[in-house]
Amino acid sequence: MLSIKGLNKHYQNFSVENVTFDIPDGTVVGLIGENGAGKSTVIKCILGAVHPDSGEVLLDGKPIDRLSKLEKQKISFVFDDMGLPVELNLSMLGKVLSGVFERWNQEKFMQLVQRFGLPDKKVIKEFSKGMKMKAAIAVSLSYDSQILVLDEPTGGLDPVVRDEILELIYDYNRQEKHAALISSHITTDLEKICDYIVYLHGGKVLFNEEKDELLGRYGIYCVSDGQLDELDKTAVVKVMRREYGTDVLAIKQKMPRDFEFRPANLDDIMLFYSKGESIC
Amino acid sequence: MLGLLIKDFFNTRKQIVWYVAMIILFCVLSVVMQNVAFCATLGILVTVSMPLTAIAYEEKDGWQKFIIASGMNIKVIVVEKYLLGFLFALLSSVGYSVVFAITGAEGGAAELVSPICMQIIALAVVLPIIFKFGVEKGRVYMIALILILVVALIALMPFIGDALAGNQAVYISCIVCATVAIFVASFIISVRIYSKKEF
Repeated sequence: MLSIKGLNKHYQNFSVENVTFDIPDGTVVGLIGENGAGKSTVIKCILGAVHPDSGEVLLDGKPIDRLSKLEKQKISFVFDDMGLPVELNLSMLGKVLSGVFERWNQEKFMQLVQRFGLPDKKVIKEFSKGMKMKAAIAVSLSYDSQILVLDEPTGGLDPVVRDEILELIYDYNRQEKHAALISSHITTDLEKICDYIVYLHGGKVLFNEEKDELLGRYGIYCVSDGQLDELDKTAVVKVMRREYGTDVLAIKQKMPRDFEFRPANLDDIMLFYSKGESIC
Repeated sequence: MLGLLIKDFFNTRKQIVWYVAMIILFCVLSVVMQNVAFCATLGILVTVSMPLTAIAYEEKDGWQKFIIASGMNIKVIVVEKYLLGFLFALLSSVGYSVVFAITGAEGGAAELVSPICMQIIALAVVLPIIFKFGVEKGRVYMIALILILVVALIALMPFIGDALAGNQAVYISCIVCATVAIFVASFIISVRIYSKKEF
């Protein structure tokens, strides 16, 4: 299990504050948040590319900065900008990475390359964005890791490629004890595969909840000001004033049964939490 | 380490062809002109340029973030760049030595050893700066520092020359020891810089 405990990182104009959440074995955790919410900073802290001011990242109870190379490589990763040398083709890349990753599986890598229909003799810089992302994912799946960390893996990709990538993550997660952390602001992707959702807003964790429970709990209600005054205030999470009335993100169980609502998706919840106001 | 070195060779394969061609060309020029200074100067340039080019590619590709995330030891990452520069120092030194033998330069062993040491010193001076500031910014600081060093060296040369006149063994010992000391110090500084870097 990967645990992030009390992570703090301060920059001149931005801070990540007291970020705490777990990625239990066998689960997929989605890290959501607006652009600049701190998702990439948290992921870089996990992977050691950014040094937190305080707090720690633990892999099976051991601090990440004290792991051996072999232990650290239990975590595989995909950055939004790949990080692969783009002047190389995939055959060259395989040779390079066999000298980087202790458990590099060249056969598996070439199988994935074939499965994704990637040309192994063409230099990576000539790949489309989707092909580059597939290449990065092929790399991450080729060294027998237990936790897959992906930073915006589906950003800027068309729905077909996005779906293929989600399928791969799903396949990875079905293997025993494999877990994944995916950061994205495309919440529809996360709704498909995540077990838990961590919402980061302004560098702080606003909630960390089981996805189905989260989506099942909330509804969006459109009410008048009069109706809003009469509502149980503990049912109302956030409100957003509109020209036509007031939209309310509310706990369905506490709301009157005769009120019409539509189910809240992650986009709605994110929007209400970031832009809505509390009335309690 | 081997993976990193292979990556740099693959990444800079076009530049390597150029640098090797330049070494050969300048060696030939030195023989024709009967002046070893041509290939001595190029040796310094190539030794410094190779790791610089490799780091520039890494910065562009975001490779530094990737390799840190892979759990690679920082000392290995740093030493690979020194090794890359060192390999090209070796290559150009072989060329220089051949030219030196053919032209029969008169300066003796000191004249053979000095440019080789200068290559290593240049590498040792440049790499920590590049690790600290990156290739883009570091290039400016690098040029400034090398200029200061050259001016200092020119100013000190008469004193050093007087002190070592007629005693090549002492001179060679001094310059070799200084080179090793600067190289070791540079490596330690580079590791410290890299450990604190964020990507």
